[in-house]
Amino acid sequence: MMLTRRAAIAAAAAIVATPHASAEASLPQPTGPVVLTLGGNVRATNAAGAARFDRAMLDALPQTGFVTGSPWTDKPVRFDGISGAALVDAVGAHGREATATALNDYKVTIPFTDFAAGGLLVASRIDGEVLPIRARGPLWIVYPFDINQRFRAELFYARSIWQLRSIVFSG
Amino acid sequence: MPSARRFRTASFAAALLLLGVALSAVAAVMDWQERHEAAFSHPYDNAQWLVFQGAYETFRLHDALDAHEAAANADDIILRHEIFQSRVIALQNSAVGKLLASDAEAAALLSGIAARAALIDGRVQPGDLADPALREALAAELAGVIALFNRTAMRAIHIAAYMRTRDLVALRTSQTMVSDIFLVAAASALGLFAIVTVQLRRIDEERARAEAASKTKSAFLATMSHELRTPLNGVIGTLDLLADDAMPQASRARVAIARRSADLLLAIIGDVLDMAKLEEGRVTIDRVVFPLARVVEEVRETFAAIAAIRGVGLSVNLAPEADAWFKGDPVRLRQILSNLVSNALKFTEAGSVTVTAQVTDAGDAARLTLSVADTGIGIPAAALARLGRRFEQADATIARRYGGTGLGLAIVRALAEAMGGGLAIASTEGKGSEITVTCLLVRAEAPAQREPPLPAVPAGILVLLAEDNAVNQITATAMIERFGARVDVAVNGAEAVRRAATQCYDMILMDMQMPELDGIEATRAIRAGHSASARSPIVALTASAFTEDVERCRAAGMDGYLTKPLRKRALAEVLATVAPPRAGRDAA
Repeated sequence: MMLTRRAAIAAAAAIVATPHASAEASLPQPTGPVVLTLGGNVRATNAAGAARFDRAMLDALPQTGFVTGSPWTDKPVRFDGISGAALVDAVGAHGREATATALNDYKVTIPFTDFAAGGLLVASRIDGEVLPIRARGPLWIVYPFDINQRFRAELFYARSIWQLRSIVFSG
Repeated sequence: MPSARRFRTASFAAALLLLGVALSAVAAVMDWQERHEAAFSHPYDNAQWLVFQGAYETFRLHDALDAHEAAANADDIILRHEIFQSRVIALQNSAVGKLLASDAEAAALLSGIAARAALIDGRVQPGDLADPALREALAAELAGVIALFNRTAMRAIHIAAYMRTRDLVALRTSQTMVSDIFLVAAASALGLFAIVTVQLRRIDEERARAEAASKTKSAFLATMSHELRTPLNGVIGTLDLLADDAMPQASRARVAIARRSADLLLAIIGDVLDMAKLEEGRVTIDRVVFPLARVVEEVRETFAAIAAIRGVGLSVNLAPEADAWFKGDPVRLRQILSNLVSNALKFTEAGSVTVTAQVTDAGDAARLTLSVADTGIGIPAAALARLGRRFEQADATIARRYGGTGLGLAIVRALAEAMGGGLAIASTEGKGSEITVTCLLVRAEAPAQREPPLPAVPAGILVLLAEDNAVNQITATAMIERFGARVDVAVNGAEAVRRAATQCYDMILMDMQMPELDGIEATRAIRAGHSASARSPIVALTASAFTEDVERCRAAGMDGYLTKPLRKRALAEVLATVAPPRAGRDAA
């Protein structure tokens, strides 16, 4: 208990001590079930050191998409969702890397540049259909494998985490 | 030639084989790459991970159902159930699932899992999860699923091992094929190389044989020319001696014709010998320091008289930079220029022949450009290309009208090429020709020690030249006049005696062979009388300088002799012996 309270105080102190962080800490509270939590180096928060999103909040962010084949689909499909750049912009995320965690606790480390420099997509729909958990939903990080050959490699397949639950920015 | 055809066939076949092998090699390498990628990218490792994940999520769902506060965590059970179902679906739909399904035992296990998952899916309802009996039943089903996952994992290991080994064997076969194809490629490349090498050696041998044959022919020509020249020199010498004898006018004319013919024959043999030597590569180009102007001047002097007789102008333009000393072969240059000028004069009946010498820079060397332009008959355009080859003249009628072997230009061209240059001909039929020769020389400093200056000839002396040959008259007159002397010409011995009787000459130059009265008799006549020139020095002009002739001259009262052709220095030395003209000589 002691530990938790101390952590809470430290987090509160950090928010107060960082002027621009508090200025940007204007994320609304989620009203539906939380589908994605962004933590670590994020400036905009709506919980202790974290930005929590329900589906409506995610759909309100700039949407983008591309058509590509993948090792997990039989034929090319259209992925739609939020680009890595739009996501880090929305919460003022920064750092050198991000740790993404899935519902089944699968974790993978992704360089921050994958988010900032483009390519990476946090997909919420395939061919316009919302993704259920059984179909690797609700969120799935994918890359434009067919558009840029450099993404057609094991490294990027491993970063393509599905049933994405949270991302913690660090470094 | 059958061997050439065989060579072509063999090299064509080898090249075709090489091409085929190269294409096979590309195909084989691509196949090998594909197999290599397949062997290293097949999701065998993933199979075990997916099976493990399935089992793990089954455990977690089992745990959630087993929990004491199961009623309170219905949301958690639903989430775990969804994840469990997603793992079952993922395993079935993935490449790994399809791979496992190709094995009968694994396929049976997977369909068992799917059947139980479907059963569980139907019974997990949010409202019913509070029922402990349902949770019990679901947990029992899940325990069965875990057992199936366990057996699937073991089977996956076996399948992966089998597949991996199969891929490895295929990869090795492919690798062996690639290396075999490269071996064949190397062998056919080697074969092609061998064929080309053999053929190149054969070509070399044939060339060597041809060169040897050409050398043998040239050596034969050289020998023959030499053998011909020896007796011909005998003929010429004898004709010269014969010409000194007293004989009737008609006989003298015949001897003169014989002598001219012999001279022509000697010139032709000389040309043949030169050409043979040039072809044999036996001509060496000298490298001595000489003044270019002297070469040009000597040629001009040689041909000035002939040009004058023919009424053709002969002029020399020596560019300022050409009036210098060079290192090269003046003898060969003189030969080239003489040949060109002689040719130009031969084919020019009116107008002029102009010699131009220019020097330009050519790297470290100097490029000499000698051109001889004439206003002669010219050369038809069609014949231009053939000129300068051996025995080629512009056309057969020219050979009949002007004589000559056509070797002249070939020799000039060969000499120019030996001196790093070449020959070019420009001509308009009926208007004239210009032949340009280039060669490389090296600029040189004038040597420190010059030739001793010519002895001084007293100014204004009067000389009598007794000479019957018109060309010799003009040449000698020009040379004597250059020393500031005046010249009277007597065309035969009798006229010489007449002129000597009334005029006191400072020197009399007496040709030995003259019609009517030869040099010896004329000298005797002058010395015997009391003529004005009875005591004047008389110098013989003679083609031969045999001792007995010299004795005859002295006996007749001559003071010395000059050999023909006249040399400037020798003439100057003789003229310098004359005492300065006495005042009032004309009155004596």
